[in-house]
Amino acid sequence: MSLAQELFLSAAIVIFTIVVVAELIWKIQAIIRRSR
Amino acid sequence: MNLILGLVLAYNILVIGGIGIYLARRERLSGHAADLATGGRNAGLAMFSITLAITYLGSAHVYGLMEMSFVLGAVALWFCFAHTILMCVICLGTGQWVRRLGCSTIPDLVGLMYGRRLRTYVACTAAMVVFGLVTLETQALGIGIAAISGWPLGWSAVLGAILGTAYVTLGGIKQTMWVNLVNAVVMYLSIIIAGIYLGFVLPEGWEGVRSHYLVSGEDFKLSIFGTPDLMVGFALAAIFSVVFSQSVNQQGMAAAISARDESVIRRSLWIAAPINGLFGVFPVLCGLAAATIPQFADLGPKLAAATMIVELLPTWLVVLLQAGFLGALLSTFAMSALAPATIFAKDIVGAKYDGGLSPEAEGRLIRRMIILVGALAALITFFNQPNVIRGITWLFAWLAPLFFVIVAGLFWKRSARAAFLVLATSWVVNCAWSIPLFKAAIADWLPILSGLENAHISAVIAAILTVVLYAMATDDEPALFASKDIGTTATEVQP
Repeated sequence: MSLAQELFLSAAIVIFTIVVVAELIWKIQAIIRRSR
Repeated sequence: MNLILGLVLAYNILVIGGIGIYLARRERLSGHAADLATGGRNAGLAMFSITLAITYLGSAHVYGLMEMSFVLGAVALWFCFAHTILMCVICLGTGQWVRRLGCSTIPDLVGLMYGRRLRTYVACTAAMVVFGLVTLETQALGIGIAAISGWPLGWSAVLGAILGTAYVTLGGIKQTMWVNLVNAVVMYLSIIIAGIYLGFVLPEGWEGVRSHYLVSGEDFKLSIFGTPDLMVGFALAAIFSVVFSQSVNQQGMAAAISARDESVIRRSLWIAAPINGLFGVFPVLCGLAAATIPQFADLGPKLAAATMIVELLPTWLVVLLQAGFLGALLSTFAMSALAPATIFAKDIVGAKYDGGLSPEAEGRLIRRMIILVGALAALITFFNQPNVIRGITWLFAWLAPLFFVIVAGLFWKRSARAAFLVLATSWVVNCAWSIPLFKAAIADWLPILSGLENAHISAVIAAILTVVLYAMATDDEPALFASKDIGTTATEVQP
């Protein structure tokens, strides 16, 4: 374990989380829009 | 006075005082004074992104993570990842909705959807929860000051509360935003330098930390994924409590309300989420390292890592690091103390008058309430210092049900009776789950529930009840955003 390893892994998880959650929220909003 | 503490305080006085004088001069020249709680609603992308990121970088991220990683290991980083999800929900959802509706507080929003009675109930609960957060922020300020000065934690917390109260009483949200911008740069620069520097000054370097855990059979502490029990009991609980409660919490919404428009909030995602999400790496590494060095580990989880930083790093770096930490803590303290004071002035006192209080009377009341909140927080923290992250997770469980009734009221339908039943039942169950005897009795009957924390229980019950009770509701009105286009402004769709 080193600072660089931990930072790299955390950065990857953070970016992955942003992309997945943002995509999920946009999908839900699109479903709500379509259902009206 | 201790040299480091003197320099750290001098830095904060210089930054806060300098920005305060600059803003006061600008307001005098423009002849327009910004509102204490909303800052004039004109924050741009940089200012808003940094404020949103730093508002959620408080005691839990700095000293709470050091304490938690000391005990649990690198799995503590899930608290940060939970905040990344939270930033997404605020920037793409709740933050934009609150800004669109033009509400000043969360109870105000609940009142708009479900009426005055529910507004008062929510105001009382939200103010209580945020006050709890203020006491934890006070404790964190105390830990920082105690680590630098060597003073007892109780007295250090009292000094922290005095500094924090003075900071927010003088400036309000506008000044907090400017100070955040300066502190964000100082804080990030200093933690990167400190992380690299620690690798050289730790007795056996980072490799020594790693081999300590391997030899002692605690290698799970080196993994972000810990053990399955920790993933459920800590990581999942953190995600539930952080996402569902903080996305409708007054501090974050206060930042959203101050944004220039919705597009600022949406675009800030790619700045606020990484800044907030990556911050925790340094405190977690410090907690892990401190637990392996006997002279610091003996101080216990609360003070070990904070003291290690002061003892191992050179004075200039400690000053820079602590100045940034103290700045972040002061900013979170400021936003947290502002929240119950604003709720009290607008939703409890102001709601009794048609059209609310006058801006002057409201500002005066908010200032007095901030002083009262600061004094009470100092008194409580002087005598009692609970585990920061466990305390925060418990407090968040109270706000989780609000997320569901707000989302339902915005997009599905509105029923004051169903909303009241969801909130009241979730809060009663949350209280019951906080009593160890009750929790143990339920766990004996249904062992699968034994690993669940208040945050799980509160969110799951609220979600189920919202679906069932809203589906059955007969007194329902159309949702606030009942139009085909989610982007339609609330004023156009309000009945």
